[in-house]
Amino acid sequence: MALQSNWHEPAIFIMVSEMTKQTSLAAASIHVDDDVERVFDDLYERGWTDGLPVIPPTRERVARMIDYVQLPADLQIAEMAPKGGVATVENIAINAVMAGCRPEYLPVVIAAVEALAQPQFSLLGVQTTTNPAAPFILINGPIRRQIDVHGGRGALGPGWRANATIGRAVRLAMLNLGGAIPAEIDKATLGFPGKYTFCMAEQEEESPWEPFHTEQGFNREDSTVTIIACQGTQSVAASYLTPESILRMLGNAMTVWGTNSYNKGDGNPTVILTPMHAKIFHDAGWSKARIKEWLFEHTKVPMSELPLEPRLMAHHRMMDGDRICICKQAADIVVIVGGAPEAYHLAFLASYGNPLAIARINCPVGR
Amino acid sequence: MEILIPIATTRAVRKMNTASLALLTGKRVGIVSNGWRSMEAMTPHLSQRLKEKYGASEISLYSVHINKPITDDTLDSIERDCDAVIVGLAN
Repeated sequence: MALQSNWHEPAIFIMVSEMTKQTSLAAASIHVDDDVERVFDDLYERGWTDGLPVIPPTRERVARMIDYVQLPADLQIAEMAPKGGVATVENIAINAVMAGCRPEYLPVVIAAVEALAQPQFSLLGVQTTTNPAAPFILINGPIRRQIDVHGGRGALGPGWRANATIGRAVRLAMLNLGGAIPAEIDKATLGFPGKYTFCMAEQEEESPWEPFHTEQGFNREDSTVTIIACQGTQSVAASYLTPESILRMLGNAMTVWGTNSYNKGDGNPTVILTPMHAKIFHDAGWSKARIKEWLFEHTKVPMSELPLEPRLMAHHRMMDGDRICICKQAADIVVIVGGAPEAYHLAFLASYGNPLAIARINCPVGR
Repeated sequence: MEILIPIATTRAVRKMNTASLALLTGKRVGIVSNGWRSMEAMTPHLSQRLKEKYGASEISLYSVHINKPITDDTLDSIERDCDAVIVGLAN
């Protein structure tokens, strides 16, 4: 079946759902030891894991997951760079089982894979770069509550199954379907832990502003997954009560000359404000747009501050006179609300310098 | 225990209709660079060698973005103006 770009339009979705009354799996299989430790050893040796134990993707587990989404197992979702592996519902589900996902997480993983393949995201670059870049996966909309994707305290840390396994499933798909073998194809000089999993929900209910996905043209009641290639997290201890003070701290943290968005003049530097930080801004009359404008202006770096020696790597900087801009325009800075309520630590996620991708999450009819 | 294999197959690669070149003598050669200094330093030497040692008639240089796909316009130019192309990328 050819890639069907319209598979998620309502009429098409119902049609393909009707076609999948019984899941028929086509993936090849192997026989492994019944002992889970030996299974882990086996799959690790084959290079199919991220170095952590996986749930064995038995036929029953994969079928159960595909049955939930009510899609044809062989429905092709995307081609994944660099290998050009064809991601199908089935092989995405196999990787989702391995990651420890529940069946109800699969629609998110499928949408994430679809987003990764959007041309502007340049998955090839993300998968093969020497940069530590990893996709930050942001979930918006009602599905957050339906499947308990956490966006509050500790959302980017351990403890939340949906966050951990959805992010991990996407990473396993990038490895097994896209072929980004660590150190061989994925040339990250060092990497960072977000390459295991890097997923959270936006705290929409705690935000005084519109949720992120509505800025991208979606309705509030749509569920979406946004993928932003990021270089890690930078915590900012911004325990202040005025917007200006908070912004000075945040702007300082963002102005790292070596982050990729400065070099590429593109991408989406991302700021995660706590609910209280957001309230401080909102009560003082600040909109997201105004925050972005301030940050864009105050993170410009004079060329004279950089080393005189020409850099080894190429660059496509966005310049404002003799000052380098953190990205192409203020509107490209992403501001979301998440984390613990108190106005202590907010976070900056430096951008790899590729534009983000966003896709609608399509839940099965009746689910 | 039977488990399903998590890796994907790739599409069949389209068979190339262009015959391989036995020699570069008299041929037009394109060099594609994404701007890394190493490639930019190498390109003049490569161009000179291609002409002096291998007899290339013409060398055309193409710049591509550091990590975005090559544009269709650039591909069309290469197809139109080159008999062979050397791609130098790094990231």
